[in-house]
Amino acid sequence: MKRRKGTSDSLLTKAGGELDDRFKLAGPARVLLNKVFPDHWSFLLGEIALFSFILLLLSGTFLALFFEPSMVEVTYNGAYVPLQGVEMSKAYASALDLSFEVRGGLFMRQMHHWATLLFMASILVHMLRIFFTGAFRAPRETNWMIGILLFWVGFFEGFFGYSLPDDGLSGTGLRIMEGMTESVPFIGPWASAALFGGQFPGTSVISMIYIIHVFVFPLILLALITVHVGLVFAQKHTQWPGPGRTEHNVVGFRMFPNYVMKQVGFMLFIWGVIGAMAGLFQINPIWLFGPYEVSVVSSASQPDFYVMYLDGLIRLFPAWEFRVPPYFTLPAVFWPAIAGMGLSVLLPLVYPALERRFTKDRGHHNLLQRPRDVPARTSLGMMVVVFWIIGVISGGNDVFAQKFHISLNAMTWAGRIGIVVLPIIAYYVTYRICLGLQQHDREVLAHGLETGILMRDPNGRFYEVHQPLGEPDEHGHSELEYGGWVVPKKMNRVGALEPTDKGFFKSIEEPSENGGAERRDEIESGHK
Amino acid sequence: MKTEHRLFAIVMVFMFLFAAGYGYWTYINDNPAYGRPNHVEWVGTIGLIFSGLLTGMVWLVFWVISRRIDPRPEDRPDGEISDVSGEVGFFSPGSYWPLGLALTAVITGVGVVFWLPWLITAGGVALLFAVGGLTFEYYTGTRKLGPQ
Repeated sequence: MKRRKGTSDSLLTKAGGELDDRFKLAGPARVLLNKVFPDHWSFLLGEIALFSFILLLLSGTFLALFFEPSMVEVTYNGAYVPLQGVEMSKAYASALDLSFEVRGGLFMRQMHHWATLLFMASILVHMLRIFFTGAFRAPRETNWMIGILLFWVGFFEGFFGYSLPDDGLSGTGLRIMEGMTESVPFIGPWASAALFGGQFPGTSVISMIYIIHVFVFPLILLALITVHVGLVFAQKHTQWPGPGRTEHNVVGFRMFPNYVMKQVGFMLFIWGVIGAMAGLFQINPIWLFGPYEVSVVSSASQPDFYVMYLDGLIRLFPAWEFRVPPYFTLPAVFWPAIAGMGLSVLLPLVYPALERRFTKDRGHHNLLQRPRDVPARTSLGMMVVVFWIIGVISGGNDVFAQKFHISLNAMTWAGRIGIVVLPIIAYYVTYRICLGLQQHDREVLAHGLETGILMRDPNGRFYEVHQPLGEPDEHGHSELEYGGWVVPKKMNRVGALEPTDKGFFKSIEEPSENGGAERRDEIESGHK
Repeated sequence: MKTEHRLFAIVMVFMFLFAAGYGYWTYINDNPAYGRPNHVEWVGTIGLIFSGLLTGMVWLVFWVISRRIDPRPEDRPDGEISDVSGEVGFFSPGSYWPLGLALTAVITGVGVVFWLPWLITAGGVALLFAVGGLTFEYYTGTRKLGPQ
């Protein structure tokens, strides 16, 4: 065979050179491919949101091809027999057709819904990671705020999304939103009339929120995500403290090949999981709810989980109406819905500034903090988490009351008392746990780790052997400084009981070719 | 080890005696307040038999060990306290695994009580993991220090 001139390597180089001549790619590509990111599992939580967002764009585009955002009344005459002949909006009818007659339509609908839930859930978990590790501190406050905005835009995007099919459940949700909007002093009724084109439900709301759902908000989300990720690139990712890690370096792997491989694999994995969920687990079976009629409200109507805590707050809040007759009424729903939501947006947004103000810490931080080392922040975070969980449970208090045979009033009162008392208890308990963990770290650093080996001395006294973590100094002390990172607590974390043979099914360490045990010569003082 | 295995043997025998006595008494009793009249009350009876079997298991272990090892200082009439000095053995200094074990056992138990096969399966699998975790807690691979 005739040998080609030059190697494939030089071919690639040549192609790269040609591309660089035309598009000036080498500079940016070098920066991008050599970019170093620190490596830790908790840094991948935001990626779950990113990858589910990509899937949301793709599946949403498919749905938009078949969905008709119209509130024109039609008589259903499609494949789903129980609803044949029922009057319904075109939106609901086309959502039914999408589920029963469009090839792969139900799968795409369920994929869109599951991806939304995963999107919101991973944003929440990602947010908790950022909060508890102090990753929002200077210089990253702006990115924290963008993240909060992303959550709230996603929140309303999701809410509008499940309002679109115009089924019994989504209409109930819109009805609650109408009540919330109207409760705003002075502008409420006008705002509601503008949203619904007059009296609820009107004939225009579906087409209006449709264009917001498929165009305006996705565009805002896309823009915010771009800035969010761009800022992470520009400011460099935070890292955990550890050997060789300082405020002024980044220890990790390069974008190419490590992270390109990792991220593509992770993305396909997440898409696979969402696809499996979409195919296996039914979600939002709109054909069971029927078309929305203002007079029909079914029990056990719950929003998606990320809206549920607001619903719970509305259910818990006492019926305190503020009146100045005959001019003005402030309905009770204003406090949990509008004031509650407003605070949920505002407090996280200003939290980094508040922390700066109270800790007087104006430094530039690239190293993360372990939650136990900042007990006050961790405890505040746990307060919010407990508050939120009680809100979510109360959002489904009718279901809990029915399934567990509890009185609904008892559920409501437990929620009312719990939402005030339990966060305070959570604060105290978390604070104590943090201090306890800190103390145990210091104890191990000072006295060594517990080996679990029990000894008896000649007097019969029992004692445990401790393994100091550092070399003793000239005074015999081996106390170590705390470095802000995991302190080993078990002997197997510092190399005891190292497996003699590596590999799972098969030993990785093959005997070397030039000399197994049989060829090892014994050397005795001077001669073989 | 002699003392230990004898103690457990005695408790085992008494448990079986109690089981027989309890079963007999509930059988001859016709007061409905103490279970179905003239029937063996099987919850208590089986509980006592199982307690006997459990003690029997400990007895068997101690008995087998006592035959295999040389008499320890505490087994010998001439033993001195200083004779026992040295390493006693390895005891886990603190572990959360027993909690996990109990939790998964409860899940499996609830599955059995309400006969929910899916819960029994899930609990059983979780139980296996917890047993593995407890057993291999100190044998997992050496971990590098610092972020991985």
